Amino acid sequence: MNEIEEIVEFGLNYAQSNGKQCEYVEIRSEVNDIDTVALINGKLHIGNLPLELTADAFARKSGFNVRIIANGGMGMASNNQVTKNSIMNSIDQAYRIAKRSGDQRKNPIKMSDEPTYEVSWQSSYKINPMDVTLEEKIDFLQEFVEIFKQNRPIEYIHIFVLMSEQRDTFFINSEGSRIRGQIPRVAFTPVIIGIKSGGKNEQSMQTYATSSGWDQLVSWNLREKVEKTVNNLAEIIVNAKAPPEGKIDLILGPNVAGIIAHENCGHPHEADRILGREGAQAGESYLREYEIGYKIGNECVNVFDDPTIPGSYGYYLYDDEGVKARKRELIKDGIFNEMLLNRESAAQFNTHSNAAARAVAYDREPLIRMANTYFAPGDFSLEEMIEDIKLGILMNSFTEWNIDDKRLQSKYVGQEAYLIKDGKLTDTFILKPTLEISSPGLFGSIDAQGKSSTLDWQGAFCGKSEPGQGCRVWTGGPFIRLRNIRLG
Amino acid sequence: MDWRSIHSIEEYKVGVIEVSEINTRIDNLVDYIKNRVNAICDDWSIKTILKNQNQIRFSESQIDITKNWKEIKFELFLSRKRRTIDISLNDLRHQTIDKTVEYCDKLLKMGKMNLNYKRMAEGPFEYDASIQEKIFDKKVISLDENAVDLVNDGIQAAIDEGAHRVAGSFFYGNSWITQINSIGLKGEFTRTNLNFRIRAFAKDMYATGESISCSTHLNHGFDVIASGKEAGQICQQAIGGKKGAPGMYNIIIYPKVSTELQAPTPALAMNAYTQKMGLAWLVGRKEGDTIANEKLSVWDDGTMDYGLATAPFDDELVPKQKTLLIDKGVIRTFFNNSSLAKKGNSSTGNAGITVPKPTNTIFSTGDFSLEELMEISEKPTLLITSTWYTRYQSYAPPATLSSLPKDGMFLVKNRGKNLEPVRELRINSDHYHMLKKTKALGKKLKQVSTWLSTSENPVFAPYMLIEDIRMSTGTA
Repeated sequence: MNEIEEIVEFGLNYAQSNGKQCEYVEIRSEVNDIDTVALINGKLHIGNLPLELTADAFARKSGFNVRIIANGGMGMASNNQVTKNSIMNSIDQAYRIAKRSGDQRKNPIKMSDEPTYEVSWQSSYKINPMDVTLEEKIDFLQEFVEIFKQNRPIEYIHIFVLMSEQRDTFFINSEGSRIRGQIPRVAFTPVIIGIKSGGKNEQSMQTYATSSGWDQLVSWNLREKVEKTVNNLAEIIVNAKAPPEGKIDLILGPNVAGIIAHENCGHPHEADRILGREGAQAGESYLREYEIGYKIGNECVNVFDDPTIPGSYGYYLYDDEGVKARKRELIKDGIFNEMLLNRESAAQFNTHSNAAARAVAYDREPLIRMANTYFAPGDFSLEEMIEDIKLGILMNSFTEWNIDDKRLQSKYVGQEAYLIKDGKLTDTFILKPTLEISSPGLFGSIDAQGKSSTLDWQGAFCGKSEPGQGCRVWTGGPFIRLRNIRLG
Repeated sequence: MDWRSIHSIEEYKVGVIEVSEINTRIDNLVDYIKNRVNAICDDWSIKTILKNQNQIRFSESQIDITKNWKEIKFELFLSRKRRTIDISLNDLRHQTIDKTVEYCDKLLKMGKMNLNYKRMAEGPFEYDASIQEKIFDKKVISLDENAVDLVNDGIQAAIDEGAHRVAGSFFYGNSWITQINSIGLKGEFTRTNLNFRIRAFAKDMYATGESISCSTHLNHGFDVIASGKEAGQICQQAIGGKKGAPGMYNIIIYPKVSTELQAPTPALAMNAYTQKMGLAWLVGRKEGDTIANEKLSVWDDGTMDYGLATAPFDDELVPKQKTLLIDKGVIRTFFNNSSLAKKGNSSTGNAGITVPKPTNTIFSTGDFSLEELMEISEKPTLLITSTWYTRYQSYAPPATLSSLPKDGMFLVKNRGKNLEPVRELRINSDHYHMLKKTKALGKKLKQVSTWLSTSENPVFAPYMLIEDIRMSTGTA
């Protein structure tokens, strides 16, 4: 047991003594290191970046967080001074504010009953990205800058961001759990804006991310992927045609399927939204008006969320409330099958948590978050999906997107998109096909999901809560097909 | 001058650790870090931030959680031969500090020259002592139990206006910031902050209203009851809203909406760094170019009374100032720091040492009340009380975007005598268009600082009438 863990143990003993009437106590400590290196139009930048790319991009953080339920209210206190005095102060404060909050509540807060664990976990990797030298990281990024040294028909702005981090956690609670976690992550985000003289432009932003180490990231042949994006942006700007009018069929690539799985399914399935707890922050859910068993979409639609996928960006084996992680089947055979639950919301629904509580740092409250959300694969090859489409579009990637705070009305503007005509995929680029559609409308239009061989992932930073928590996730899926869609 | 002479620490206790321990603890840590960074850098800056922040989160008209954060954090800027690093450090164990400085030493050896960094401001500077009074309120420090009462007052005000249930958050607290650098400049200030956000829901869960109240002082521009009432009234008016018709509209926006639609240009794109690197939609535009309607002027003002980003000095210890960015529609200047200031000009007091930062964005006011704005609008008009999830197709000009009205949205009828609630309409526009089409402004400014907004800094904005905005809706 290291010095921080000893202080955390001391804190738990203190919280359970001295006459305090705590109904629940947990203490999390964390050591969190983040390094971010970027090349902005080829110029090296170490540190925070503008335009919402990263904040606290280069940081060394450690501290602890106490959550206490007392008198039916919840209090939280965090401090980065990891000493016996400060942890006693934080516990006293969390206890006092919990009791005061409880006075105001009609319904006392409770946690669901869950097993306890004494366990350590970590992701599997060979090379910790935090151990990779700056030189090697710059060389990695420089390779992408080289792409722009060739003559090209348009100009480019290019930003390549490489974020490496290490999160070591220690969780204990008053029920007897002692859980140590250790996870390094790395994410590479190329942001490329292609601009033709006269101003016509296209922007692409992708994130390739893993918890399986530096070796995993560099194995992905990213140069080829980025170069393809660079070429595509020029094609789109120079040659793309307007989308067809009227109703068409639409095939969405894994990149677009993934964001839809996340935004139109994952978020509205979060129990805190359904219960209204995020009402003033990330919003609520249209599913608030429905029960488990509600038919959301066609029978072929299955959307799952699984934190246990090895190497995933949203990987964990125990959540930040000490609950063992498992796969969650959110939409099963088109039916609202399961919510994402933490212990507080599970208690309200008289069920068990499915380990969706995550905090991005020691000083943040664990909240219900997605991990790796995806459309489950089906039986179709891409060719089979295309062959009976008379007029349609294959949308491989997206640019602008948004969705309302009930997760009902969404918009996805396609980027790399091709015309499908008479059962054949053409090489005609389509300019900004816009899918503006409700969640039930979308899931009710899907008639086919691609084979597992077409399943692919992208990394993302999911925003929620206040103060904001950019949670590391994967989004993914195979190709999916939507029928009879009228583009916006 | 002693660096603690502006105000005594005892007076502005931040509660991070016992008052009696603060002087010694901070001095020791700063000395420890200073000695180490001095050995590896030509230029350095150490900014110490002590925070004691609180939040009460509530939903379903009940308090969900009350939080307290105590933190001592160091923001370091390190430079050697114009190779630079910015790093945040709140792991204050000596071995971590040693390891981090050692690591930074390696990075500085291996890194490339940062051509955007030339120097820090040399000073010496005089600071306006009156600013401290405008950003610190002792009553905030002693809020304690009264904070719950304020939350209850806001909730009750919304319910009295007909809200079925209420959610929101109340942030309050104080920060103590001290700074020293290799030039020999020193400074210190303390600031209190209050931010109350409340969202009211009718039984019809799609009828909602939101309101914000924020300030540095309890008695200046901060009113939880007024916010509760406003949120409750908007949600009541929004009951029974129908899907709106897509098409072209004039829109009248609440001050809060400016954080998404109007403030991103002065707060993000008028950053000299962003402009130089070609990262935003004003690339190719320069001083003297017209980008907005002549009725619109915008300032970055780090001295604004009760502004949440007001302070005596920036990260180079340059006094903060009021900088005219857009003068009657014309670009006057881009905010900057010493390194990015043009030859012969001084810094606008917006350091970040490597990347400038906006302070408070201030819009000009006009002659109209909200009712008058509705009366003068000639075309079909929407009153938009809030919006969120603004996303760009590209940051390149003209920054095409869409943004989703979130709470009460109303079709203005009979020149404002009737408001018909509408839903499911999405704003489709770009910043150039919206700035140029801003045709009339409200009389009063309101300070707004909202959750996850596109412009993350505090904004002082009036109601605005913007013409010819395309609204779309879902097709299924």
